[in-house]
Amino acid sequence: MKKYPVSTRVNRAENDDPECAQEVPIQSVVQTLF
Amino acid sequence: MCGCYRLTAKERYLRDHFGLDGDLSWVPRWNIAPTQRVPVVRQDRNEPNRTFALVRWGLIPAWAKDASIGFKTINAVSETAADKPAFRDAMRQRRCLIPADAFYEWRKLGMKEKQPYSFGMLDDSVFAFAGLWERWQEPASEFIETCTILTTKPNSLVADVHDRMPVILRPEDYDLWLDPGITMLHALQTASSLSNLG
Repeated sequence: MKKYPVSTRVNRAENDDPECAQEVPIQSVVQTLF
Repeated sequence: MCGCYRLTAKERYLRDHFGLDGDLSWVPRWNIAPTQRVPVVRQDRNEPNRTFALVRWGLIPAWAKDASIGFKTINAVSETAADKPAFRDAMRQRRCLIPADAFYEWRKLGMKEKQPYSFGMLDDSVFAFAGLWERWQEPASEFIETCTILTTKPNSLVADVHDRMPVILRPEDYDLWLDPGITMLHALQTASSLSNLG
């Protein structure tokens, strides 16, 4: 098997197109104190 | 948990991979979500060949008073499904294959952020989730067929993203999983041996 990150477009069921299957760079999370 | 998946394989490939006869109708999908109609492959006790159908994702047991339970039954824990009222009849009598070519799981990145990942075979080939199906009659209305995807402990690839994954059947286990005469024990052994596809 293989894995790769995809767009958060897959979070919404109405997004149903080839872009959902494309690999994307991993999100960076901004670390904040507050 | 498996909350979304993909099936982009063309009809001809599905027919060949699952040994289906006759017509089947499927338009490629990249983001299949709960409550939508999804393909299942079944083996009727009285028919020689496997059949293809579209059923609603989210299992509604025959005894349910309304359809709302289907929102909570998109997945069944394979380790306990044989004992759960919602799934135990289907585990005995109504197992199915749910074709897919990838599934999505989410890794927590922070307090709110989650990164989705796609998981599939190295060659992007189609595979099958172990599924269960049911037939439920809406009060004073028609029958609705529904399904659920069994889940299991994750393999090493999925484990760092999520703590569960769908049960993926090897093609050589399709007949065993679909066999209406199979014993419960054998069915569970089949399911539990499939989490390590690397």
